[in-house]
Amino acid sequence: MRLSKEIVDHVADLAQIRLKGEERERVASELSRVLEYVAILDGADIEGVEASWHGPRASVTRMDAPRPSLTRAQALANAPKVREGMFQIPRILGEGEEG
Amino acid sequence: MPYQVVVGLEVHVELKTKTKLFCQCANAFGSEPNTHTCPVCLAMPGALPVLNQAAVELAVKAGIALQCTIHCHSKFDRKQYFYPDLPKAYQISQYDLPFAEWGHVNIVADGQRKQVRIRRIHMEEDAGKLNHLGQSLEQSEGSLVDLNRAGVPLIEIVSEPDMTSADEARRYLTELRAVLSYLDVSDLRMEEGSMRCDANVSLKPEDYTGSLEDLPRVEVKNVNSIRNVGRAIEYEIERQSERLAQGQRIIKETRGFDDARGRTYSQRSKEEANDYRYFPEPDLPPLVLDSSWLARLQAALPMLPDAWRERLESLGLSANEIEVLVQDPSQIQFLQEAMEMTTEVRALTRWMLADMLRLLNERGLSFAQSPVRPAQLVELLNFIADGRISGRMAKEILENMFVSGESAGQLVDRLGMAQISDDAVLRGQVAEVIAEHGKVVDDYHSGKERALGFLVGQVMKRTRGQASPEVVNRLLKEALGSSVS
Amino acid sequence: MSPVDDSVKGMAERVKTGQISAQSLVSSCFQYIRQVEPKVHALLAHDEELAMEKARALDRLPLSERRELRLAGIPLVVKDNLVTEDLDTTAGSRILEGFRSPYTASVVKRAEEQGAIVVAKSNLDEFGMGSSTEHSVYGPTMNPWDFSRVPGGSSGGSAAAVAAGMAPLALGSDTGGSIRQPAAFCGIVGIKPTYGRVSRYGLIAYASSLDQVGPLARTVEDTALLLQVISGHDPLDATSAQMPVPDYLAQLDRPLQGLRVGVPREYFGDGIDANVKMVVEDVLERLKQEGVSMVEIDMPHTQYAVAAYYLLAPAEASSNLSRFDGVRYGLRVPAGDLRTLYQRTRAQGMGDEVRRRVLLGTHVLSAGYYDQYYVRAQKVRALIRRDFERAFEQVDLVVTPSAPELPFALGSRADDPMKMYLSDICTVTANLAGLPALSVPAGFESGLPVGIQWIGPAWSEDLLLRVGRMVERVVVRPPWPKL
Repeated sequence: MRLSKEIVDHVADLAQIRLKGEERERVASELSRVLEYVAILDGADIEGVEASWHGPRASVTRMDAPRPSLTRAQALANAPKVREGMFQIPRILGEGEEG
Repeated sequence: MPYQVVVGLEVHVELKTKTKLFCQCANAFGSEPNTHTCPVCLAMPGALPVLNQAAVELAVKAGIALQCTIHCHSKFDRKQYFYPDLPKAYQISQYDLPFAEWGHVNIVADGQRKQVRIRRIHMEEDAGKLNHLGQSLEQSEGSLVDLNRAGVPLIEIVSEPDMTSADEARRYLTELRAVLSYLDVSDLRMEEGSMRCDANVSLKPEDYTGSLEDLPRVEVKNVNSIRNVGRAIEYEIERQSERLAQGQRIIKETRGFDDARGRTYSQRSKEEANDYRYFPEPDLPPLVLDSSWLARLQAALPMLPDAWRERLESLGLSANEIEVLVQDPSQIQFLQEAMEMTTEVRALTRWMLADMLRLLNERGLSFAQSPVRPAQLVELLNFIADGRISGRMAKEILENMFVSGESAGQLVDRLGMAQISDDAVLRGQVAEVIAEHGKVVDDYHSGKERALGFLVGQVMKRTRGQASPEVVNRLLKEALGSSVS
Repeated sequence: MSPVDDSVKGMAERVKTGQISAQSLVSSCFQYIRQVEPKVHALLAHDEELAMEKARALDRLPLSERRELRLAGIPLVVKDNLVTEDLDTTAGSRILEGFRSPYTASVVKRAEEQGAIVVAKSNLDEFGMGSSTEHSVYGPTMNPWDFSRVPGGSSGGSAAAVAAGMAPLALGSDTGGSIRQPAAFCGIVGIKPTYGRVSRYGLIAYASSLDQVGPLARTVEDTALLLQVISGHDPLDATSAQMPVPDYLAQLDRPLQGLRVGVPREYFGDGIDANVKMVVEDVLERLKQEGVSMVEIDMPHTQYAVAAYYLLAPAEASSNLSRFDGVRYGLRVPAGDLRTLYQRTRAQGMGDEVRRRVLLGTHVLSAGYYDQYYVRAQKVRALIRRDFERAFEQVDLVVTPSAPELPFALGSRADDPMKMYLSDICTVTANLAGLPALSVPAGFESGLPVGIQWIGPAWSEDLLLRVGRMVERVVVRPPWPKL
C-alpha cells in the first residue's frame, strides 16, 4: 500500500508544503510505512460502534458581551509585513476563493 | 431542444450580535482595519473558540421562522482551505449535522402561490476582507488583510433548486429578507455584505431524468442586490442556452457578476472539486438545544409576513396595500401599535401608505424612526372621525407634526384649526352668502350643479376653512330649497 | 547548588513568612541555571531581570496578601508551547522564532496569580511532536542522569529542568505521553489530568482532542500543589469541564484501604523492556505487601492504540498547524506570489517530524480516505475507552509501566519514525480515553530511572496522587544527580 507520487503531491498541495524531488520519495516511503502499520486497525471489530467524542457532551456557550479587542499595534506586532494597518501579502495568482 | 431553468440560492446572512461568533470582539461594520481583533479571530497560537449564545438564538429564530425542523443535536466542523482572509486556514462551519433543515418560503409567481423549499441552514463564521493593491486582482502588486470581519456570525440558508426563473429567485429573496427582517436577526444590507447571495443556475433538458445535482451547474458568487441576482440569472440563462444551442457543453464553474456590464464572468473552474477535509471541530462541544428553550423561543416569535397577509386581508385591505405594508417590518410594527388604539384600520393604512410614507420618504426615515408615533397618528385620525377637523386640515397638521413634534391636539389649538360644524353658527354665514350671490343662486335653481360648489367655497372662505364642508353643504341645500318655495 | 532544597510547600512557606525572600530564591535559581544549563540544555527563553522584578514585587506585598499565595516565590519552568506575554514562545519551531504572544496561557496566569515566578520556557519536541526532545530546532535536551541519553519528550525540557534542580516545578503538556514518559525518563513525577480538567487556552494545539496541560515535579506532593492551582473550568476553553476541583493536598495522606488495581496483560508483554518490567513488578510486589490487591485484567483493544493515535493526532495536527502561514506572525519566506510564500514558509518553517505528521494527517482527512482512516480510528478510540470502562467496573485503577524502555541514547531513533512512535505504547491509551494518568518513579536500573504509570477513571486525580504517595513510600530512590 505504497503511496503514489500523485497522492503525495496532492497531499503536499493541500497542506501547502513544498516538497523537493528527493523529499517526495522519502515522504512517500515514510508515510507508507506508517499506513502499513495502521492497517492493523482493519482487524478491529467496529461494527455498530459510534465514533468517540472527547469533551463535554452539551453546548458550552458564553454571553454576548464585548470585551476590549487588542490594539491594532498589538494585533500587528508579530506581522512579517504591514501596510496601512493591515497584513500585507504578495499577489494571489490564478484563483478566487469563497468569501 | 427546450430546457427548463433550475435555480437554487445560497444566502449568507450576518447575524446582528454584539460580539463575534467565537470571541468577544465587537461585531461592527466600517471600523478602522484590524481594530476589532483578538487572539481568537487572529488565529494566534493557543487561542480557542467559545460559542456566542446570542448567535445561536438568532440563528435558531431564523430557522423556526423559515419553517425548518430544528435539530436539538448538531455540531460544528472545520472546513479547511488556505486563503489569507481565513486566519486559521479553516472555517468553523456545520457540515453533516446543520442545526436546521427542511424549511420553506412561500412566494407568489405568475399569480400562483408556490413553495420554495429550504434544504438546510447552518451556522458559520465569516472571513476577513482583502484589499487589493493596484487595479485588479490579476495585476495587483499584493493585498492587504483586514480581519475585523473574521469571525462575525453567519447563517447560510441553502434552498432546494426549486426556482425556475429569475423572477422567482427575486421573489424568494424578497420574501426571505422580509421574514428575516421581522425577526431583527440581521441588518440584511446587501450593499454592505450583511446579506450575500450565490446563485446556482443550470438548464435541464426536458427529457432529462437524472438527479438535478448531476446537472452541470454554474455558481454565480456574491451578487450584491436582489435586482442583480435577477440580472445575473437572466444573463446565465441566456448564456447557457446559447452554448447549448451551439452544441457546446456547460462547464461546472464559479462565476462572478459584473454589475456595470450586466454579465457574469468565469472565476474558477470547479471541474476538480475542492477537498475541504471537513472533520468535527474538536475545540467545540456539540450544539445541544434544550427543547423547552426552543419552545419559549418559538412562542416569542413575532407575527410573520404570511400571518399578517391573512390578517390584513380579513380586514379588507387590497392585495397591493398588503404587499406594500408587509415588506417593511417597521411599517407592520407601527400598524400593530396603532391598531391597539383604533378600529379604523382602513383609514389608518390609507394614511400610513399615503401621507406618512411620503413625509418619511422625504426625510429618508423609516416608520421605526418616524417622529410621529402611532398614538399621535391615531389621535389625528380620531379628530377627523369626530368631525373636529377635515381631512385637508389633517394633512396640514400632520406636516406640522413632522416639523414641530407637537401633537395633533396642540396644533389644532395653536393653528386655530377646529372645524365649525355647529348648525347655528353656520346658518348665519349661509344666509349671508345666499344674500350676496343672487346670480349664483339663480344659476343653482336653473340646474347648474357647480353653483352649489361655489357657494360652499364662499362659506369656507368666510370661516377661513374651518367650516365642516359636509355641514355647509347640507345647510345650503336646506336654505336654497326654502328660498325657492 | 540547586535552590530546590525543600518541598514546594516548605519553600513557599518560608517566602510567605519572610524567612527567605523570593528575590534570593529566584536569584539562586538563575545562578544555578547558568551553571548547569550548558550541560542539560533544557531551557529556551528566559529573562532574569524580569523574573527578579516580579520577585521583588512579591517581596513587597504585605504579609497578609503574600500569605494567601500557594506558590509564593516558587520558580516555575514553562514548556514553550504555552504562550507567554513576557517571554518569546517558539514551540521549538523555526516557524515561530521570535514570536511574542499578545496574551498569556490561562494555566501560566493561574500559577502566576498564586505567586509562581516563571524563570524560563523549556525545550520540547517541535509542537510537542516527539518522544525525545531531539526534534527541537534549538537542539536536543540531555537527560540529567546520563547526558548521552534523551530526557524523553515532548516535555523533555520541563522534566530535565526539574530533575536537574533548576526549578522545583514545571508545566508540560501531554498528547500521547509527553508529560509521563519524560517524567519517567528523568525520575520525577508527572500527571496528565482528565481531559477537560485543565484549561488548554494558550496551549499551542497539537491534537486538540488529546492535549492536556499538567505539572511535573520532584514529588507527588509538589505535583498535587501545582495541579491544584491550574485545575478548574476556564470560560475561554469550551472543552474545559465545569467540575468542582477537590482539595488534592488535603487528601494526599488519607490511607488507601482495599485498593484494587488492574494489571493489564497487554502492557506487560513483548514490547516492554525486561528491565523495566522487573522494576515495575517489584513495586507491585511491595504494594501487595501494603494490602493492595492486584487483579490481572484484559484490555483487548490496547493493540490498536498506537495506530489509532497516529491517525487521529496527525489529522488534528494537520488542521491546527495550518494557521502557520507566514501572514500574521512567525516566519515568512518571501515570494512573489502568495501560494509560493505559503509553500516555502511552511516547508522551511517546520521540521521533518512536524512536516511528516502534517502530511500524514492531511492524507488521513482527504477525500476518499476519511472514512477508512479517521472515522475508523475514532471508532477504535471508542473501543479503547470501553476497555477502560469495563476495567473500572472491576478495579479502582490500572497500572502499567510509564514507558516500554529505559531512556535511550541520543540520536538512536532519529531515522526511524515508526520505532519512535511505538515508544508511546504505554501512554497513548489514557489520552485516547481522556483519562487521568500519573507517572511516578518506580526505581532505577543501571543508574537510569524507571517510571510506573497509574491510570484512573475520569476525575480521579485525587486517588492517583494518593497512590503515587504510597509508591513514593515503598520505593528507595538515589540522591538527585550532581551536575
